[in-house]
Amino acid sequence: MIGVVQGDIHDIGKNLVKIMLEVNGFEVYDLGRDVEMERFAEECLQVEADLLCMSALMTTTMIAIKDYLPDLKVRLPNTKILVGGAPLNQALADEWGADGYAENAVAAARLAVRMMGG
Amino acid sequence: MWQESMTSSERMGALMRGERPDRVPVSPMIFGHCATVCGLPLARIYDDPAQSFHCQMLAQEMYGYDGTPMYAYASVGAWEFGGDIEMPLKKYAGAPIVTRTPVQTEDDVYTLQVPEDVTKVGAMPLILEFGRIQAAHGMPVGIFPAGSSFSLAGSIVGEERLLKWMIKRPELVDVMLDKALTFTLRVVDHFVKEFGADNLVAFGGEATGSNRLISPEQFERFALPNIVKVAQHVVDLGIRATFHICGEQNKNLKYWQQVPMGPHTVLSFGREVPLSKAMEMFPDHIIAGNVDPTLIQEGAAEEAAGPSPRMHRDGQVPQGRLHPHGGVRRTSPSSACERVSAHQGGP
Repeated sequence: MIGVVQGDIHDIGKNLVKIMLEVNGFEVYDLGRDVEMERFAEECLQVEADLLCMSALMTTTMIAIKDYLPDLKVRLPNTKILVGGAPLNQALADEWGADGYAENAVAAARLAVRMMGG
Repeated sequence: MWQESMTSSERMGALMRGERPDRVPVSPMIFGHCATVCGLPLARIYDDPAQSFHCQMLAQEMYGYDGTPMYAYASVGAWEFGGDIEMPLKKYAGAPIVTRTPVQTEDDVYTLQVPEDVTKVGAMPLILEFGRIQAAHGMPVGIFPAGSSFSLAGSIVGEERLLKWMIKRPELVDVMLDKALTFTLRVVDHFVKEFGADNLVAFGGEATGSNRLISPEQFERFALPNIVKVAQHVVDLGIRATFHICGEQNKNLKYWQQVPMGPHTVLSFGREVPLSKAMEMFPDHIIAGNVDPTLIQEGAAEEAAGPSPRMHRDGQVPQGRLHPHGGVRRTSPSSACERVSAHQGGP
């Protein structure tokens, strides 16, 4: 499952990550941009997603990731959560409780493969 | 205890004349934070010039930073050419966003009309009203948009479509760039007509030219020519300019050196460009920026106090003014105070 968080329409990076995941064998459900937390949760539960990728490009919208993570971790215990986007970094991803952070699309795909035991 | 010997106006005046101010001027673009501390919805910054100006003045007075209120946002262009934008009303929104680009198809590129009367389209009535308020307060009037027709074209076409066309249909991009250039020059000329060239500061941002999106060769081919044309027009009119060279543009800096600039032009950079490099490449201009907006927003107050290797990534003190990201909204008042007071301790 992949999408850009609420309030953010910058999806070029998300689209690149989607392509890289697909060429690495993932079946990707793309929720697009400006996605609310509830939709991430419901869609992940519906397809029993192994991995959820969320991104934000703005300092304002990256806070959505921070806000989403505690609830999503509880509601999606079997889904790993990978985050990314220009204002994020590894330290923030760790502090907020994400399972993984990647700086670019290639790194995201590599990490996703590792997270799935590949 | 060290005390300031200049007023904010004197300090900025000295900086712009190339003289040494009493301390490093601080001019944060924290529109969202201004709205928050004044109890206004963020959208008022962009849809209500009078309230926007007033709350920026209040925040400036409260924190004691320099500069003047301004009106600008990154996705300008789409609304002015007939598309739709959405003001930042939703939770997490930081600035106006484009909800429908006026160009969707290749045919749209050719049928798209450049507005004859730029004063009546999109955000231009708001921008001009803001300018009138600046003028009434004896401040320089900001011309916006007055920078890159490349970023403007990205907003009109949609950045992802523009990037694809640069490779597959470059002739379409050239047509769009011509139309965006015509619009920008008309905007500049209107501001001169209404306010007079002596009272203007041209503000241009270039975000889509970031090397995260395009190569330096693409920047030279598509972005640089019109940046040069607008800048030359501004210089010929005797107007001072400010450029925000947004994001990762280290490999574009050699091209920015070719842009005509008047004396002591303000160049602000993203966190990715080291100040030492900027100062070396633009020794005659005022260098600003290299501030980490994530740290301002999420860091502790003492981390935002800088200048420090974390705050200014290469540990350099800027020659000119500081220029955090415009979207910063949730930074704590204590972080904002620390950020300002760090530069109030002396020259």
